[in-house]
Amino acid sequence: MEVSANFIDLTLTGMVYLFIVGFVGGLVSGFIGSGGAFVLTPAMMSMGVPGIVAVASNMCHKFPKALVGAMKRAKYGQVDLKLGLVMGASAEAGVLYGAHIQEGIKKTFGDAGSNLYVSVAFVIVLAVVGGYVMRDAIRIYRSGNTQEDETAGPLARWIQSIHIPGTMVYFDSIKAKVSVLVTIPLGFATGMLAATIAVGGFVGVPSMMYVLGVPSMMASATELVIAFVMGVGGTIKFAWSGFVDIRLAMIILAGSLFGIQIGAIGTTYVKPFMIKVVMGVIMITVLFSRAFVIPVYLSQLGLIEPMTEASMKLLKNISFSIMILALVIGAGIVLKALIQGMREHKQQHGLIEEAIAAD
Amino acid sequence: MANETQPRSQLARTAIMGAVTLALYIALFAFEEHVLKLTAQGKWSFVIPIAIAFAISYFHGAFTGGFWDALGVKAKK
Repeated sequence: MEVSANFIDLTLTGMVYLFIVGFVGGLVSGFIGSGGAFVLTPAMMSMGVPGIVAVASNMCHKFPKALVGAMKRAKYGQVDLKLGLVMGASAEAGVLYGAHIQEGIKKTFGDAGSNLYVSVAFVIVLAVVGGYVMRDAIRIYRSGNTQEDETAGPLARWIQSIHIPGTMVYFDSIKAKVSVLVTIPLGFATGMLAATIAVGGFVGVPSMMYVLGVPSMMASATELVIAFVMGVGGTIKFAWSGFVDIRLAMIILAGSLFGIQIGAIGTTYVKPFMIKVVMGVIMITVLFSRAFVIPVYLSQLGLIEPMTEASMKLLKNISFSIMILALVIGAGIVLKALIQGMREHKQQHGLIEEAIAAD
Repeated sequence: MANETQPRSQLARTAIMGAVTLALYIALFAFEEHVLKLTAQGKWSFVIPIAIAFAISYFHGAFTGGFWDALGVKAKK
């Protein structure tokens, strides 16, 4: 095949690999609204796909996947379309600005500088936000009141009490008006993170839950609308320069659409705090993954003593393995919760039928 | 099991969606070089990968939904 140096020859093994990673990524996305993308880009790059083509192809699979997931979860009444579109529009601006910053860093500090920036952003965001989400999930679990997160926290109540004339918009998910001057920066931060670490939802979902007071089930479903808007914009941006490898995008999509259906169905069987559990566990595990590669980039920039090629390769492999582990753990929790929920539901259903028959 | 969980018409619809999806994927890879040339042109041809993604997601999305439904993996009512 001789089309462009940007596009690799695909093998059957490579296709199966991408299909499986797509499936697991889709499963997690269907449940928490995002995730999976952080593994897909490095997974494609490990097959020899140039970085920009991997990012572009990831974007091109993301928007149709998010669309299917959002439509599925809208059927369950979990999507706040207006909030998704409002945040999606500002997220789009955040994506463009985030990409601009990335380009600037790459121009000034080279690939190692750009990679270091991405890894540091990963570690800081995941440590702060992931730590908070995880702590909150543990607190709810220990309290035994697993329905608790359906009520807005103190920050969200304060935000909802702010009235700025001419900027107030009513959102169904919180049954209250919130100023777009609050939603715009949240969406912008989501987009910036998406352009930096590929998973805007790690800021988008927690910000909707804790800052706006959106129930976790609705926040994770609404994130799919934001991901759709960002995905379309991102695909246009990259396809305009011809970087999308449609084959890669469609193979990942093939797997992820199987996964996203199960993830979405899973949300109907679990208690809302499980969204926080899965999100927190994935974020904290990915945090460790990125921490392993920071010394590699510091060494490449000459900020610490130089490392041998073998050591750098080892650290990169450990990092990639932990990333895959994060996704597998997340998917495992979702599947376990789904199977358990379906079994309990079946038992309850059986008991009711027995009682009716006895009458 | 499938007949218990899904009416026959729904199963037929899922099968049709699956067949169309498969046909789209076969076409994508049978004309791989040509499709890549079209999608990698850049500029206004950005609509081609987007149209392909929408088309495949429509049929494949419907198929995967029906597929899990047929296997009894359904949302809680």
